[in-house]
Amino acid sequence: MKHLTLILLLMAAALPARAERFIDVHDAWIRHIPGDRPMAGYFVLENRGDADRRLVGASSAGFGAIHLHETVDNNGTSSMRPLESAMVPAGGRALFEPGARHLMLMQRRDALEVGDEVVISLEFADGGSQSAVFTIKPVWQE
Amino acid sequence: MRKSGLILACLTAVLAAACGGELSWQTKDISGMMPALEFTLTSEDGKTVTEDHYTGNVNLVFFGFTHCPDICPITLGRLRGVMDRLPGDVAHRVQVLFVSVDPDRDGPEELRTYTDQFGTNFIGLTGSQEQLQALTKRYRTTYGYGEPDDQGNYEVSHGSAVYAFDSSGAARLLIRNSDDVDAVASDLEQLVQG
Repeated sequence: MKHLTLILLLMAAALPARAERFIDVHDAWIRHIPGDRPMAGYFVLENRGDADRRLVGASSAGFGAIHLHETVDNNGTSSMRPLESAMVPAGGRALFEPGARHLMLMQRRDALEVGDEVVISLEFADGGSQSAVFTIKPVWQE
Repeated sequence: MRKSGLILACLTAVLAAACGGELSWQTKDISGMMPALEFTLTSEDGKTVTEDHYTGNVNLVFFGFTHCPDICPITLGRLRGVMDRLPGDVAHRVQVLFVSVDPDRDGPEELRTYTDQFGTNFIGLTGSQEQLQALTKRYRTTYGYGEPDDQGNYEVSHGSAVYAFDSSGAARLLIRNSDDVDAVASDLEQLVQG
């Protein structure tokens, strides 16, 4: 009986991870901007699974609001627009990189310095999520 | 015979372009296509300034705003990378004028804190809507504001190119983020020495 409880507990613990373990997040970083201005977060998503995944949002204890965003250049005029979602095809990657798609991180809870780390949870359309550690880098990071 | 004559003519043309005082540029040459530097704005120390305050050095003008998390720091970061590649005596003669088109949020204090992160040659400027419109119109670019969200944060659209002016204030080059940093550094060195 004791063993059964333990097995059930282990299974329960493993369940939410099952849908998530095929997504890898790497090169996760945040461009530091002083004050309470919005900052941009960048990362690479790698889908090792055999099902397409769709990123639909992100959340963090470190920020009041996070939006998926995209920088666009229209005939020499630069602007940003909200992004509904981003597809990560099975066996493929999705890049969130400078000058293109990024996380718009707003209302920081604490003062952040270069070198600090913030955990951000990336949320998918299938209900799964994946946490990643984002490192704060200098504003001029290329 | 005719063919070799043509090759000779081509070679002569190439040599004339390379050696005859015609400088070649890797970024976009806008000499004669844009007017000379001219503005009245407020500097990051709160003073009213005109172009006279900055001519004598090569000036790189970029329009943006400090609540811009992605493209403005990318562009200014690239210019910082360019400065690092220039020999010290050349870098001293190049200034970056970051013109905020968001004067409601970017006062002199905010601009100074923001530009100081990129280097001492980075200077923040802003102005009234009339002053900013006169300047952006002069360089055939635009800016605009999006609707504020529930936190009062709003987007600002702005030109994405950097305008390079020589020490006399003449418009010379248009630099884009797609240009290689080494190519930009090489052009600026030529502009400072030219």
